[in-house]
Amino acid sequence: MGRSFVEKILNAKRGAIVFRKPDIVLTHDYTASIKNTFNKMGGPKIANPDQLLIVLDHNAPPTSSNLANQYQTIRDFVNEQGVKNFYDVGKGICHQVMSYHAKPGMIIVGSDSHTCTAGAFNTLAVGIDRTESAGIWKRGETWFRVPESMKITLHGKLREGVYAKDISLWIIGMIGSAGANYMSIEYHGEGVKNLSISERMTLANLASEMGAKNAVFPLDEVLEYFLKTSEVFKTSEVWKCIWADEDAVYEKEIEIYLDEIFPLVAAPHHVDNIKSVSEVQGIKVHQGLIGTCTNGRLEDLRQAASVLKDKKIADGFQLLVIPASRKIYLDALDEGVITTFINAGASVLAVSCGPCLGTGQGIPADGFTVISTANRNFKGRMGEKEAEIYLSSPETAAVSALTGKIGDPSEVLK
Amino acid sequence: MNVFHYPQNDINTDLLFPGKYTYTCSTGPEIREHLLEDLDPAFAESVESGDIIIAGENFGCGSSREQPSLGLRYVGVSAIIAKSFARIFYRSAINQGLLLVQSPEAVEAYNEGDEVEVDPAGGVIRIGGRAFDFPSLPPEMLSILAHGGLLNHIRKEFSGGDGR
Repeated sequence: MGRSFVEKILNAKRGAIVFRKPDIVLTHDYTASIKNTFNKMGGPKIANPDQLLIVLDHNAPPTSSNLANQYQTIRDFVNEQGVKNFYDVGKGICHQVMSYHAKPGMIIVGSDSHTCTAGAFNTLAVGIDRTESAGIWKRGETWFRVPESMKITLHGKLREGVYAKDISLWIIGMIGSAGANYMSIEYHGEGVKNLSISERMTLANLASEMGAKNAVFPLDEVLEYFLKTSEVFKTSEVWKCIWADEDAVYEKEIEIYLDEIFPLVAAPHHVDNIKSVSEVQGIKVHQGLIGTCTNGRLEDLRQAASVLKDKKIADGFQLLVIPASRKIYLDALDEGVITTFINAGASVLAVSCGPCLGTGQGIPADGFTVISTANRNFKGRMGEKEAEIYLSSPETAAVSALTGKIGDPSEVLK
Repeated sequence: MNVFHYPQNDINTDLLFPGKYTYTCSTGPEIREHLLEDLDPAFAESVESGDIIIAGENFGCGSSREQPSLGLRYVGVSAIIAKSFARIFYRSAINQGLLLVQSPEAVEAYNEGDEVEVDPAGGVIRIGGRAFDFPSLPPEMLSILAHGGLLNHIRKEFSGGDGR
């Protein structure tokens, strides 16, 4: 009987519990606290410092002395332990930085629920908790239960004004926020080659919001090209392409026709409260966020900038823009994208997770309605309990910023 | 023993512990202050050791932050019985030594005021006189739970004795 991707990469049947050494263990701001747990476990030296990838992003730069001190503790720890793969403030959001390290066939774990983003690179990328991260520092390995798998087959291509974020919201609308609970999502079909790596990262990022353990894309020409032209590539390297057998068995299978999809939002206060943009068109919005690990890449910023070029956002509208990495920020500057945002009236923030999680800049006021390209809209998520958050694609957010009302990008393009 | 019954589905990690305190609250007492603050403001003051939580589907969905499971273990919640659990929360709870029991039937059967008893060794929940089996965890996970969480489990492993 054929095996699924996850059964192959873990080399065990679904339902089994196995112990494996991940290739990468990602931690971010919480590294300071994980270090304390590690010490309580007996420390003192990390089993394999090269396994670690540490990124300062959630509260970058720090907004309190407590956070600043935690950051300094992490820097000291990195030096003491000889951790090579350390990204200080401003270098990038951890899941974006991961794109400089993820290689096909790897097992990647991270103390962040959106670690699944790295599935775009044909890896098994799984979120774990923080205590467990300390356990891996100590022992080098952890347990995995081999999950059931879900096959999502993509056909065709997206229409104009429709984006990867809309695909994700479409799928969540179909299956619910626990529709893929515990499963490994595999993306198949000829539609996959019509998605860029950036779009695959957006889709994989939202696997967490579908309840999935992980999501994975195949190693195809698009990914090969990406790897060959990025810093990850070494000429001598040959990647193993691990992919499901033709006759693998799936718990669930769904077919998605990309050209049927239209612009969507996730309405307050849950990610599976999916509505078409046309249903919520005209609702007043006070603040917008364009960025985050979900939609902060150059393609995303370009889409939003194309809407805002030579225009101004609505009076009083608070538009925040955050590139997902230093490299993206510089490229966006070179292309004039950042200038477009600033001229339109947006505030461009330092590279970080920023307002997505309500611990730093850009907290909404009481009663604000926010349109955001992030992946979560729980009540209170952005630091203000009385704010309402709609999730959307960057273009929908930009269109909404122009009028201060939720707007439909596919209408603007006509 | 109190039973806190939250029948809704998708009780997320922000409801269990607001994200904005993630980097400012890390000890038991600090976490306790904000535990379930946006879901049930009375919880933190009234919860006692041995209490049980009963909930719907997808309990614990959202972030991988540890304060929800750490906090619930700290205040002495003896078990959470839910129709289903979100994945990262499930791992996190085991690693904190917090017993999670998946039993849609038991949750359906519960009525306010019913006596609830959880027998982890026997794999049974008793609610108002009715008994419900629940699937036992694999041995590796049971071992972590038995040691009161991953931290103790690892200490024991490395010290060769009871590392507490």
